[in-house]
Amino acid sequence: MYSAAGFVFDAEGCGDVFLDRAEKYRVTGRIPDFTVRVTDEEAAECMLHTGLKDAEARYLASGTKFYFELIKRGGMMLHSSAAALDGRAYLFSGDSGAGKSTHTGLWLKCFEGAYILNDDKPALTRSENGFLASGTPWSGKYDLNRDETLPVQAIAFIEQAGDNSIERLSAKEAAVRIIPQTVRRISRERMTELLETVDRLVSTVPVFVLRCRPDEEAARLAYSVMKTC
Amino acid sequence: MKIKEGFVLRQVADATIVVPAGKTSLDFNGMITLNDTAAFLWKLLEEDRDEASLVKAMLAEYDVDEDTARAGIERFVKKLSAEGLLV
Repeated sequence: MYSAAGFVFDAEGCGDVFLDRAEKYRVTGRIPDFTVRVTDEEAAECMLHTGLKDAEARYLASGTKFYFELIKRGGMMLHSSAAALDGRAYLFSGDSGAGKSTHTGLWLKCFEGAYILNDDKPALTRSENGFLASGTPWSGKYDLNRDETLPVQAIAFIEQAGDNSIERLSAKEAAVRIIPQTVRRISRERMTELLETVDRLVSTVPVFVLRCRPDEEAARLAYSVMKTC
Repeated sequence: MKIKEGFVLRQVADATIVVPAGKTSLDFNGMITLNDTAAFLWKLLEEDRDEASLVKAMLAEYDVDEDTARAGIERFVKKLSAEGLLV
């Protein structure tokens, strides 16, 4: 049995990669909220689509299952690298190859005490005081995540540029960027719930676009603007 | 004419957004943002409609003359059709 993002779950058929990465999320003696189950058919389909081996395919598919369950419970996944600093989460999202992990890697160099909460797929959940971000066993290519939940300070969409600049987005612009960076291929009911969560997210959390070079000046600029918003 | 099944239209912040759901998301990968009039027409087209009934509905809802309404509807329908969104 495991616990992540405030939910307790059983895991079935999730494979060895999951078992390895989920070790630090293991709990005992709790009542699970749901079960993350990957069937043989689902694993085979995932292998076919992605070309991954069985254990990697099961790991990927189990994440998809977990994030479906999260949507039902008012949360969502945001494809982003989440850095933690001073007890707050700073999320950097964008297309694959935009430089999300490169940017949060620079935070680790620049700011003492900074660490990666989840390098690829933090779970976002709602609390009375706003949105929270959590590490989960699913963090993309690398096992870079911590079993912690922190308030979300801000989100920035990364775009590569020749100069460093940061600009606040309107709620509408934020929504249009966030939707492509979350779970796809879900039922009508799940999609309706997900869009409601996105609506809350963009009205609660400041969202920016960070046009930047892969340098420390970009990290300092992002931190100085995002921490005070 | 009618919009294909499997799309979810919802107001997010002050944007009207349409995204595919279920099996439709396998064929149609993307997201559409609609302005006010387009959202109005989209909702009508979730049920089978002909152009005349769209024109009538638009004249009732908006302060617009018939020729302008008809031209706008034709443009929108052409766009939907080009994207393969109509049945």
